[in-house]
Amino acid sequence: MKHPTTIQITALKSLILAMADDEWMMGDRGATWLALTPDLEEDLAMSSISQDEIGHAALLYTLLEELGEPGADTMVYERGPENWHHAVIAQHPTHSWAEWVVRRYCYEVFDDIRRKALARIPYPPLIASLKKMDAEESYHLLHFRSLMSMLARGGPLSRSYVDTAILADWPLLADLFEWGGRDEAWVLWDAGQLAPSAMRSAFDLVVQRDLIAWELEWPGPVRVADRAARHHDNSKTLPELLQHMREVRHIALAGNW
Amino acid sequence: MKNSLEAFVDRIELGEKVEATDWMPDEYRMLLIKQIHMHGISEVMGAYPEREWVSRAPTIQRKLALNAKIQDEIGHGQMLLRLAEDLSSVYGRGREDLMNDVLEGRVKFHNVFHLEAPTWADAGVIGFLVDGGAIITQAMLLNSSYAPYARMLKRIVAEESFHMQLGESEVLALASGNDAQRQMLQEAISRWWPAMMFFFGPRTMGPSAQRMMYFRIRTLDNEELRQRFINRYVPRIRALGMTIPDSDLRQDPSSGRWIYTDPDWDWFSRVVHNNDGPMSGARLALRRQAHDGLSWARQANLYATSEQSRQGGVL
Repeated sequence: MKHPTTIQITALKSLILAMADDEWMMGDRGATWLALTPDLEEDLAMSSISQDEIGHAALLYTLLEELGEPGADTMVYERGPENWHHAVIAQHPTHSWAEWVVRRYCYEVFDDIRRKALARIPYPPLIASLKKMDAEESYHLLHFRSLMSMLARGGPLSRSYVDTAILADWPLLADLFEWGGRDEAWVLWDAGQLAPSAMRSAFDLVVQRDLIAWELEWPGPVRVADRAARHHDNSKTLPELLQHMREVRHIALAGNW
Repeated sequence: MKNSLEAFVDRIELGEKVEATDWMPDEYRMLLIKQIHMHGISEVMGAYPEREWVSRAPTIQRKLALNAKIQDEIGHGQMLLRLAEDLSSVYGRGREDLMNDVLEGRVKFHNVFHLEAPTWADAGVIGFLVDGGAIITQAMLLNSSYAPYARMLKRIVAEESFHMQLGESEVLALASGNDAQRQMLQEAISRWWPAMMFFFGPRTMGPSAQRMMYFRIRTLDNEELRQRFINRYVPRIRALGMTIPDSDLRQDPSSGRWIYTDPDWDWFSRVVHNNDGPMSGARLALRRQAHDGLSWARQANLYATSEQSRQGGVL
């Protein structure tokens, strides 16, 4: 795809933006665990992972800038809530370590499937970015899979926390698999793996296998998202979060920071 | 014939270093534990004032840099506590005990981490002044008689110098910003200056600090460290166009020594000894939330690992 058409560019933007916003929110929310995880070693790992996610978001916003969108800082600090397209779960607050581990494990499994699907789009800047992300993301998946395994096999108390967390996180997973844009966003390319139903099936397969291996109860297939997936026009929490995130920058919006 | 303590002190005075496996007097071990434990815990507690600003950092680059800086500080805490664990193992004390000590008031942490950091400028000034002050102290400790501590400090000082550069970059941006940014910076410097005067300890060192000098665990006294700090930062702060909140601050032309207003020694002392600062309770509550609130996760880790080895399988 040396010279993408206007339709292809619009589709690409929609796909990249959903991923960029997911990575940003996961990185930003992950940073709220700084110095609050169970031990210092996990603090170090979690902090490193959050930096990776924020870095991936910045990389993807830069790809969008090359496709005509504003720069990365403008995307983060000046975009209206109605133009953010992350999945609900990426932004959802959590104060429970077990919920966070379950959420991150589910996200990393999904993200792995999504990156493989996106790699079928013949757009070299995207392929190069995905390759760079893969090198770091593979460790994220290993890390959260290992934490899940540990908590699942960590005795009755730990197991009960994980069971509760799975039930709490499960209903929030639905819109991860949607793209937020029109269907052309994924049907333009010969990549059936990009279809939400295909990604959902691939996710269910992996997660069901893992949960069974850890002797945890699988709550069944993730539900299909409604038409408002990845749209936050009516969200009450996103404007608050963005206001908090932008509080300092807005002291001098055009200033030097 | 000299006794073993005299022979040990002779070794140190000749500039020899002590390794973890060497014989050492109990007093020397206890002083090392006191110093390194407090240092490690201070690094960990230092994460709390700054973590409040990661989610509000004004650019992506600043957010990444501050996140990475806090990660470094926690990493320093982790490395130092490993040293303290090794030294404490003869008393049957491990990581859990050392972490519990801060929650139960048995180990102090630096005065600066008991204070408020109410603006973004405070995050910058912590890097600029606190990390700058820490480098002055830690550079002195590079010559410590305890070799594992001195080796570890090489890495720590190298990373702290990046933190100081980050702080400098943040305050420079604010100093060249609009009136609101400059005012925010001035207020932060005014807040942190008296705390930095206390940071290096009283003019006359206490008995423990004097014994640390005797054993060459440390090699400079409090006042010498404070003078180095003032000498380094007075021109820097003035170059930013900011004011130092001490109308009596001046340099004696004959001795070159700085004359400064004493901080409120009693107040800061109470803050450190009684965890009685404006943010002591809130920061300790966060530490308790992580350590006590998530002890079940550490227990789960131990349980799963022991089950794994019992079964000879993999997780």
